[in-house]
Amino acid sequence: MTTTLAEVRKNAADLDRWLARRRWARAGWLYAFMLVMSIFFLGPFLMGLLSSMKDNPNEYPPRLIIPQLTPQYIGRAYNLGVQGAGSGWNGGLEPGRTVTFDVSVRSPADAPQGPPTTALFPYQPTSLVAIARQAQATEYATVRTVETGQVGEVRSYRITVDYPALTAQQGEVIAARLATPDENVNAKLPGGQIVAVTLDTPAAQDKQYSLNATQAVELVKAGDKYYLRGPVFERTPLQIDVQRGQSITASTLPPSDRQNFGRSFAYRNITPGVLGYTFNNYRRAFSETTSPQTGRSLFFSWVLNTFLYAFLRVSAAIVFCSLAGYALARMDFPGKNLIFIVGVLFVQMVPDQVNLVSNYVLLQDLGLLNIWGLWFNGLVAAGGVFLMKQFFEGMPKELEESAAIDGAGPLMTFFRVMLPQAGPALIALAITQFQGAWNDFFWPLVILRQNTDYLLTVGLVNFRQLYGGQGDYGLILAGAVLSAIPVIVIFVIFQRYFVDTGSDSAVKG
Amino acid sequence: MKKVLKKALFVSLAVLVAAAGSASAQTTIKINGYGGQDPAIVGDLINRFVKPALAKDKITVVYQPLQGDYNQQLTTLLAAGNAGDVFYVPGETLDGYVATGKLLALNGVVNTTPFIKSLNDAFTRNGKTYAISKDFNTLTLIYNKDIFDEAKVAYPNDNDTWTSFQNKLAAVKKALGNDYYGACLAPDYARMGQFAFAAGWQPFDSKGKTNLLDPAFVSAFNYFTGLSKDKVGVQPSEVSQDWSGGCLASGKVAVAIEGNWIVGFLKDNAPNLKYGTALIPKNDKTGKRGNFVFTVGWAINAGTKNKAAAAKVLNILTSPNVQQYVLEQGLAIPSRTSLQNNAYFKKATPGAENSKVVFQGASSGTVRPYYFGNKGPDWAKPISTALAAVLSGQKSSADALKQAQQEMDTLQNR
Repeated sequence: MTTTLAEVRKNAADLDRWLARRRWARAGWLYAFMLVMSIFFLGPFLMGLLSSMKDNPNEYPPRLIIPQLTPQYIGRAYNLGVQGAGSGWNGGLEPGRTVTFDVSVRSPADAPQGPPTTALFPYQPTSLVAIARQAQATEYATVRTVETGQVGEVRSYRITVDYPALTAQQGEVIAARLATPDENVNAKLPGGQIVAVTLDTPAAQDKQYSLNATQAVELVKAGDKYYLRGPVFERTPLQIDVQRGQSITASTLPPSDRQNFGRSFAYRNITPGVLGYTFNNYRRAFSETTSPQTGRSLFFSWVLNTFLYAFLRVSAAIVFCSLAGYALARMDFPGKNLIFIVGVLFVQMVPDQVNLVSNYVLLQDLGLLNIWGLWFNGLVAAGGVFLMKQFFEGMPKELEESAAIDGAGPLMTFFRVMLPQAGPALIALAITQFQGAWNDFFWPLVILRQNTDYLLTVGLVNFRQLYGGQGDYGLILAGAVLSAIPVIVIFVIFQRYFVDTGSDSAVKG
Repeated sequence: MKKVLKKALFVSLAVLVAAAGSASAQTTIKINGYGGQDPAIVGDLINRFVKPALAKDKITVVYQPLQGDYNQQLTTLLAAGNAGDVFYVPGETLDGYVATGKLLALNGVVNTTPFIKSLNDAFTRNGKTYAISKDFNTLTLIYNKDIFDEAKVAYPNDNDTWTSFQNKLAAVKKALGNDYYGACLAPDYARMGQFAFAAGWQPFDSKGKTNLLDPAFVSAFNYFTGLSKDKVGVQPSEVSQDWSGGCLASGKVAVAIEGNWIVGFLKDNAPNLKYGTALIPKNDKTGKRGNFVFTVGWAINAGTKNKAAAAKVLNILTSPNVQQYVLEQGLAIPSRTSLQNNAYFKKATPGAENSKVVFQGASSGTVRPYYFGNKGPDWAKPISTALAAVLSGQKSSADALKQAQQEMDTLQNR
């Protein structure tokens, strides 16, 4: 039973192949694991992002390729925005403009052959802050439908929405908002000046009492008078109905709602522009929370408040946690262990909710039921102290000893020698504190009461509470995606600072 | 001239300081209510009606919405002594606040006679009224007209009985096949209890106990769950929705049992849906219909320091002008009987039609407040659990009810 050289070689080659297979298998498992994890973590975010752009965020089965992200439809939305308001981004419908929209209807031989019924309809989504009814395109614009061609059973129609100006006066056109009316209609010019508006045609006078304050309008300045050209609409909602047997095969934009067995199509906005089409819910998050009294967007205030709060929390954590952590790690004073056990470990073990009533009453007595009270409540993070203490304990003692030999006192040692070394720990602390502050919900919910004071997390609950608990999911998702962006950006930027301190090379031997 | 100005400034400053110094000169009344759209609505009411009326009394009014779980938040604030002078109280959670003495009895403070009686009853305990209904809702049948047209079945109407209604749904399902359904059945006491009321069930007997094995309750339970037979009725989750409103908006379901809150939802989410509203069908045997009345009231904090001012604010917020405005804006259905002939109810829009039916629902047949007794919201859980178990086919009706009764007994004997 002797083994020949060839056999040995063959065995060695087998072993090599086996090892190589093992290596690939391991790499395969690793990649599969990473893939699963990334789907697990990124999947919900991706679906949320997609759904926030859809007309119906609840659609089932959910689509991955949606018209809102298809270049063809984005181009058309841009084009329609230009037709309606001269702006491909913002869209809308301005007086004196004409918009055309194409639709194809299949009418089989045994079905009715007539054209579709088309009409504009009123559409104003429920808003968080304003209940004043905005003017609707259907009361000002006319719709006509003309057949433009026929291929087999399919006829194509061109729908023209015509919005004539309410005045024949020529002159400078000014965008303004209506102000509180007295005996005549008033408008607030972009400069803040309030002027009386002249309604010089019967068509304009007809609308005098149906226009509410804060309505966006266009005025014509001729001489020293301002004439009403007409309201500016954010949306042009169009409905197309066909008869039984007929079907709608194509339209310039896909419909936002289908009813009546696919025979009734509603387009919530046929002059959306790109913002109004792809980023409709994002725009709504800002525009539908604009308080008519102050003209400020609540959502924007919430973002600013959250940044302020996060900044305050991070700064406080960096100052107090590093000081406390250093003292607990390196200084000797009586009761140090007791302070560490009670002040750091025990405090972390007690859930936040336990302190709810006592802290609330305390803050109330101090008159701090606002963002400053919120800051005060989370001023020193026990977890942060722990992190810094562990970090400082890991630093070589020789650094301090050499600083002491050079004549540095404890404060000097801390600020000139130890703190500059603590960069990575401080970055880690800052990121976790920022994230914690940004996502903080419980205390802001308890303490903040005025909707201008909210943080984003509490504000988003507001979106959820529209329609008595049946949320406007598109809006919620848009708000959630917007609120996730800063955390992602901060993490991506700062994670490269998680590097080694280099302090281990500071000590020789 | 300059001197005069300076003097005037000084005097006005002194007046301001004096005003700030004496507490009685300027009173602030704080109102607590829901979040969502309510801050806009109440803010508008305050600006339009309350401010002008109270300008000379030096009363300022602020609205502070409570986000999230309203009852939990209000309880916290009341415990901390930091709740508003005037606040919303939902009818179903009144008892807890009454038992702890947190609400001011309104007898003699507000005249309750102009309000609908069943709404006053919802807020009255032992002869004392603790809140005035702000607005209310009842359940209605909201139906998709296109689906009934396509199936060539008559629309549900106010004369329908349990059987005729069920037959209509079955006919719709038969005509339209697999992708369409007759009704959305939410497994919730708040969408099923009205059938039990119609059959003559009393939620609480003289000892305050609940009997779910009462034949009247069993017949209603079986009727409701029986609607799901042959997939004529489905749970909202089966059509990927979280409530019946979503079912109706999807255009796949013919009928939803909901209140007026569905109107705003449909306007935003299914603008081209053609829908109508009918009253809840009558029980075949009793010939009566049943309904819940869901209501939220304005109450005054028993611990308020400004009782008189709070009462003034409450009276303005429930005044005919305010209620008429709220109705005509299509925001809510008013609690004053005098508004039942308002022109708004005669409008032909589907939303106004629904408001009318909701208003009628409060005075047709056996109407009871949406109310859980003294055990709070946990009381409805056994019923809703049983409904879910039977609707999803996990249990037979008899088993589910037996278990629900056991859970109910445990709860009520606690």
